[in-house]
Amino acid sequence: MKLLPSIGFSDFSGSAGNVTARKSGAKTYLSTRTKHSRKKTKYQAATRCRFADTVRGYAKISEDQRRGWISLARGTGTNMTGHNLYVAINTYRKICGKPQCADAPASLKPSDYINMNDDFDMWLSPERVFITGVIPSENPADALLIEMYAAQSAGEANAWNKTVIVAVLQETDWGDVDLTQAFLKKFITPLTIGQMVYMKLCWIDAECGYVKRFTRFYMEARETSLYNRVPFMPRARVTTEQLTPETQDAGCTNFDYELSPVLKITSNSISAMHNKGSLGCRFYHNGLPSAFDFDRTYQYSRGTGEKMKYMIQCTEVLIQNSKYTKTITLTCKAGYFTDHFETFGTYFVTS
Amino acid sequence: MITLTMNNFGCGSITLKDYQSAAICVLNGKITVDPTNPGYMAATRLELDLPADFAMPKSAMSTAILVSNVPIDRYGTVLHCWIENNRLCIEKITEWDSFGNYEIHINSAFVTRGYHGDDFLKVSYSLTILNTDNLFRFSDYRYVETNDYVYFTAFFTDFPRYSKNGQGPFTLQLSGFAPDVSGEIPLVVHGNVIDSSKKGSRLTVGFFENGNLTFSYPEGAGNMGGQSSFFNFFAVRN
Repeated sequence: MKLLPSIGFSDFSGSAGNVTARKSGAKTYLSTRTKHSRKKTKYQAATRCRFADTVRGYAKISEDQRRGWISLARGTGTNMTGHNLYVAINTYRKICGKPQCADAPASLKPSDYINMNDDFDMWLSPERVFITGVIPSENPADALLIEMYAAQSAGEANAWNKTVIVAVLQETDWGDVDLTQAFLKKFITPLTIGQMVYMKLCWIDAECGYVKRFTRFYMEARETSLYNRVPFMPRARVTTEQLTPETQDAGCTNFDYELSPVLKITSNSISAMHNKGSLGCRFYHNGLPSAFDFDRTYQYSRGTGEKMKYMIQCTEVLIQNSKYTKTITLTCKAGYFTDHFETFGTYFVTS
Repeated sequence: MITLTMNNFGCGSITLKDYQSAAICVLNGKITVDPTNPGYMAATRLELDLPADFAMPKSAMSTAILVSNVPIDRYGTVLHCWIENNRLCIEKITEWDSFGNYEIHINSAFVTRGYHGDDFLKVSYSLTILNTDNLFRFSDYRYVETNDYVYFTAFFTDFPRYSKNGQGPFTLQLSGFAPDVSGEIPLVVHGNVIDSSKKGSRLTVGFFENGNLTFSYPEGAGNMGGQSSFFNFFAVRN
């Protein structure tokens, strides 16, 4: 709804044609009816559908339930109506994958600032929108709400009221928040170097949360990070997508291998099979992060085939990531060889 | 030491030896599980509440070893074990429930993920086998020692075999191993004969103390031990 500049009238409300009068406090405001943009991207259609569903939901609840929402809205100490509160709470619930809530919750939970650890940094560039070092909320019901807006011209200032929801995440990925795809989905075009970006983040209770406190960032898109001014460095991680998981002799159905500092330690989970009964299987990759060079672990694995189920073997996982050798080999070194196996756990990496 | 008093499978208090930091935690200890306990039967995974001030509320995947009470062979397997919401979680496998109480040995490290960098320190230390009885010879091993804990994995070219060397006890004497590590360690001693009617691997439990690993085989162990035997563990220093 567009608010016309303070044309104060004394005492009337209602709509006539495209103009609506509404009272707020001692003043009456005129506004024009919002025009539908008629844009029909999938995302916009989904957003409108979600909003319309939530608005319709208020019409379907009982009078008692409405009174509950009105009473709760009064308790917020704002001008918010019961209807507005119902829509706000249920919109966030829906975004968080929760069903609509007809009864007003016993209490509301205001959103809260995000906390960051020593690894905190942020990259806003044409290639990525990425945050590291976000500390998880202590409330398991909290979701991370991120709103953004990218200024459309150098002269556009103080555009905090233009931010829109880019993502609502149930949790971070070990402190990482990768918004690259979500940003593109929302704004279609990637950031350009020098473009100013507004970002709001908060933890919001997915059950009964509303936006109150949030952390704000305002920065220029650039290739290096916000705080440490360093280029982006990927996680020291290898996943199935980085391998050629099927070879003539073997197959790998799951590969999730990551390194942790300071001493080189891996936590991983790998499922593979040998097709020809040889003790080792080799997979090729197309280049891994520089954290990997020649990394060997000896680790527990167990049989997954029906015949040798749960049988333990010692599997050598050897990752080679040099200019000439880009392979990952899994070899049975001890225990009883099983051709279908999974290996997992936390182990020291040595040469 | 930490004491875990609450769990979802009807076990009493459990005490674990611990090393805690934000980057790595190491836990050592043994849990005895009663498969007939109603709490256990209802559980889909085993959960033990960690102390509220435990340094790592969530970890990447680690391991535990299930050692069953199957007569003589004590078959078992490796289990998923991790920390989630300040609870120590262990995969539940019911394969050996009908043989009575079983043990879960935790000699594992727990780490977090999310590191963006390539700055690592890769270390490994040397050990020497002191035995003169030719019972033990490494095929390969890795030993890492820090001020707070050690990591040791080894597999063998020579290792005592029940059918040749008897029941034991046997002692692997090591030079270079931290003398202040003590505790029970499961050993995978499956041998080279499989019984297709049984799941898992044959296991025995050894004891580390003063840099020596002592273990024995149960009477009638048949095929236990030999060159495919191995172990893999983290241990907190005393």
